[in-house]
Formats: sequence, C-alpha cells, structure tokens
Amino acid sequence: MKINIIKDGKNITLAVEGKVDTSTAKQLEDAVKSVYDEAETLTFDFKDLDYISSAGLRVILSAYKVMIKKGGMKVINVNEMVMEVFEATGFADSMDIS
Amino acid sequence: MTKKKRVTWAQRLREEFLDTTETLWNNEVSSNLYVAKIMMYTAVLDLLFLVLSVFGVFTIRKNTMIMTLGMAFLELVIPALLCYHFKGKKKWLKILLIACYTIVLARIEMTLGHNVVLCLAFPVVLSIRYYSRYLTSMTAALTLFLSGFAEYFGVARGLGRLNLNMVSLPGGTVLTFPGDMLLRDAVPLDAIDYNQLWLHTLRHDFLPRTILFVMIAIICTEIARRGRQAILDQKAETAKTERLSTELDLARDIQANVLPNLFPAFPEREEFDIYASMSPAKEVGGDFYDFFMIDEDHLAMLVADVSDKGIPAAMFMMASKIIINNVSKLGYEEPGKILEVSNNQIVSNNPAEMFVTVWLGILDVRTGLIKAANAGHEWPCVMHKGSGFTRMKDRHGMVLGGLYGSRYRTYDIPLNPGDAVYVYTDGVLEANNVEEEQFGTERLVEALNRNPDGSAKELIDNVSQAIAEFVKDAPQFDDTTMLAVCYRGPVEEIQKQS
Repeated sequence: MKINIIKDGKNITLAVEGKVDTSTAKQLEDAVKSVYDEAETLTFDFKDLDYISSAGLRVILSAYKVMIKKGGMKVINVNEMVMEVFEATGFADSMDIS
Repeated sequence: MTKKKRVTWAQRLREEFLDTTETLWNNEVSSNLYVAKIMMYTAVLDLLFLVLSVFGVFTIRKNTMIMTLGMAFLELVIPALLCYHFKGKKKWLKILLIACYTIVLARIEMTLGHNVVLCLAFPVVLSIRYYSRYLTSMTAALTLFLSGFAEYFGVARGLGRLNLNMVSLPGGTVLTFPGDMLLRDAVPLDAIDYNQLWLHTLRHDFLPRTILFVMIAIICTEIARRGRQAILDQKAETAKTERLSTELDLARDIQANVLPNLFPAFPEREEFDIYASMSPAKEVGGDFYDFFMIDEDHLAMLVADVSDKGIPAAMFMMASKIIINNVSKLGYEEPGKILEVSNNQIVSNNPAEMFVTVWLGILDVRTGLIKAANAGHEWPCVMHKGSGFTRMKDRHGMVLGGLYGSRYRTYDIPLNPGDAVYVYTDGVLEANNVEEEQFGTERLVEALNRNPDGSAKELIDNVSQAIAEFVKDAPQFDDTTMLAVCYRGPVEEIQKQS
C-alpha cells in the first residue's frame, strides 16, 4: 500500500494505492492522524485502491467522525469492487462516497 | 537490622547440581548422552592410534604408548557404556563422564606432550553443554591440576620435553649411538638434572599455557552461566504463553456457550425448524448468531460479524449480543428500530471504534412473515418452495457501532409453508482454497440447492461439506457462521394435516 498526501491549503487529500487490509490499516491510520490538526476537509482518493477490509473501514469511520465536526470528509474515485463493500456495509448511505 | 541470608558457594553448587527443573534436567540427560557419544568417538580414535603404535609408527616408546592408550580406551568406554546403560538419567553421570574424559586427555597429554596440548581444552568446552558454571569451573580446575601432574611426570617419560640444554655432562663427553637409536635414549639418565628440567618446563611451557587455559576456562564458564540464564528465561516465557493459551481456550468455551447450541432448539414448536453453527478460524472469533422467542408467536434470529478478530473482537461480540438481545425484548415490532436503538447504545460505549454487521429477522410463526433489517451484513438467501435458493439483495444500513443515529429500513420476507431462509457471515463466501480462490456466492447457492427442501440442519451441513471439499487443507482466516430456518406453517394447519 502507498499513500500520497496532497495538501491544498487546509483541504487535504490522501491518495491511497494498493490494498488496505489488517496489516496495512495501521499505516493508513497513522497518515490520517498526522493530518487531523491542519485539515479542514479531508478527501480519500481511492482511484488506485484495489481492496479494503473491515480494518480499513474502521479507519475511514474514525476519520469521518473527526472530520464531520470540521469541514467534512469525502471519498472519491471509488472503483466498482470497493464501492460494493461501501454499499454492503452501509457506509455509502451515510457518507459522501462516489 | 535484618541479617541478609548468606548463600555460600557450596550451597549454590549443591543447589545447581541437584536442580530438577524439567528443562534443565532434560538438557542434562541429553548432555550426558552427547558426552558419552564424544567419548565413544574418542575411544575409536584411541584404538586407531593404539594399533598404529603396535606397528611402531610413532617415535615414542612402544610400551608407554600402548599402556597409555590402552588405559585411555578403558577410561573412555566404561563411563560411556554406564551412561548408555542408565540412558543418561543419573545425577552423578555428568561428574563421572567429565572427570574420566579429563583424566584420559591429561594422560594422553602427559605422553604426547605439547603436540596434543589443545586436547586439554576439550573437557571444559564440552562441559558448557550442561549450562552449569560450577561444573565448567570444576572441570577447569581438574584439568589444571591434572595437567600440572602430567607436566611433572611427562618431563621424565613423555615425548618432547627432554630439553638437551638441561643435560649436564662433563666437558668433552662424546655421545655415540647406533643409527636407529633416538638421541634422548643415548643420553645417560643420571646426566639429566631433573630439578632444572622441571623448573625450566614450568617457566617456559606450563606457565604461559596455564594463563591461556585460564582465559579459555573463564570464557567457557561465562557462556555456561548465560546459557543457563537463557534457558530459565525462555522457560518463564513459555509458562506465560501457556497461561495465555489456557485463557484463550477458556474464552473460546465461554464464547461458544453464550450462543444457543442445543438442537433441536425448540422441540415443542412445530411451526418452524431452526439450526445454526459457528466455527471460529482463530481461537476466538468475532462472529456470532443468536435466536430466541420474543413472545409466544415471534422468533428473533440474527447473524453478526465483528470487524476484528481475537480477544477484543470476542469482547465486543459479547457486549453486542447482549445489547441486541435486550433491545429485541423491549417490544419494538420493527427489526429496523431494534437495530437503531442497539446501534445508539453500542456507539455510545465504543472506545475501540469497532463495528459489527448484523442481519436481524423476526418471524411471525402464525403467518410466516419475516420482518428483517440489515446493518451492513451479507445478503440473505431465500428459498420459496419449488424454486430453489436465491440471494435476496436487500437494502443495507450502516454497520452497528459506526455512527450515532443511523437508521435501518425494515423489509418483509413472506414465507409459505416449506420455504426457508439461510443467513451467513462473509467467512462463508471468503473461505479460500490453496489456489487462493474464494468459495463465493455461486458455490454457496449451488450447495444450498443440493437439497433445498432439507431440514435446517441438512442445509447447513450441505454448505459446510461443500466448503470443506472446496478448501481442502488451506488454512482459513475468517470465522464461518450460518443460520437456517425452515417454515412449516401455522400450528393449526400442521395438526390438521396429521
């Protein structure tokens, strides 16, 4: 898994490549935590994400809970397979996921 | 003032020699056998040299050589055989073995002199195998004593130490000896000044060698001490792991027993037939199922999957199970509402930010209508009599434990007599074979349709068997949990028919 942090002022984008599973979720969590303070809005760009496990969903959920109190959070460029996971788990209903 | 209890060196020595700590004792027994083996090898070598000596290959006096090697052979073979006889399981064996080996090597050193001086280090090095610094330091002491002894006698009888500088003969003495005689044999014995020779040997030979040997002995003793410490540390670590594994086993038992696992679950109910199973991939898992009568006519059923595994997931699972169970009995008719209230309770006390996916259905046994709601869980499989199982793509709400205030839509699954519903966790779909293929929905539906009209237990057994045939020996990473319910019809109609 690879994470690119793109900063546009207080709008921060995390572009994630590869797989987020039990072993790599911690890495994503650390990346998210490192930008909490300066981020007004947070965007996950999942253009190159192949797979997300429940451990990864937990990170997204935690981030959502923090960012909802600030400028909001969204997930963009989700591929079909990952979208299925977001839909199946109800995430797609509650969050801005496209 | 309290007097600190002094432990003398002798007490510690005794303690260590009699120590019966299992790991150390096992090591001692295997060390005994190892030393016995080395002694047997040495005996074979000894025999070889003995034969060569008989044929006069060496320059040492034949008789001395045969005597030395012959004695050595006995001293090697007898203790080794004793050790084999007792299978290494005697406390005194280590002392006998090491002492005899030291004596043998000192004897050989005495005869062969500095050529074989390295062999004096053998017993000390071998003794490390026992991880006892006392044994190693005592071996070193014995070696020093015996090598001093060997030195003293070796001067007279041995091979190399007859230093001709120490021979005092009157000036102008002419030594004549036949061609096949050794130089030292030509020197008249009374011409040798033994005191001088001994002192000379002590200074130039014994002293530097002893200093080096003491260094080797100190290093060996330290290695033995550390080895013993490492063994004891490892033993403590193992004990800790064992305790943890016992606790995990207990946790698994507790977890398995909070789920209703007596079948048939409701032998007095003729309207329906229910069966469920859970097999955790790890010691404790995060999956669970549950079913219970809310009142006389309503059967609640649920299957759930916690987002994690191991002890934390199991604890979260227990809490979730109890909350959903309690909320179900508060009188809400809609499963969607039950999930909403449960979710709010779980979210409020969820520092680990775990979540759980749940499918919850409530069957009205009089009409066959299931009201259900889905919190991020797998699609249920529904079978209407005569048409086989298909997956029902119901609408999913947010997982439980995710966000406060999430809402869940309640939907209907109307069942006629002979219909059935099968629910499961993703471990079923994700069961993998060695080629990393997943079991998947197609194989699942196919397995259910092997005998769609079977009992609830038969449905689950068919799926379990299909999974087992598919995965073969591949290790599984996720729990597999399933629940099946078959509706037979209202009790009046069943009785009318029979």
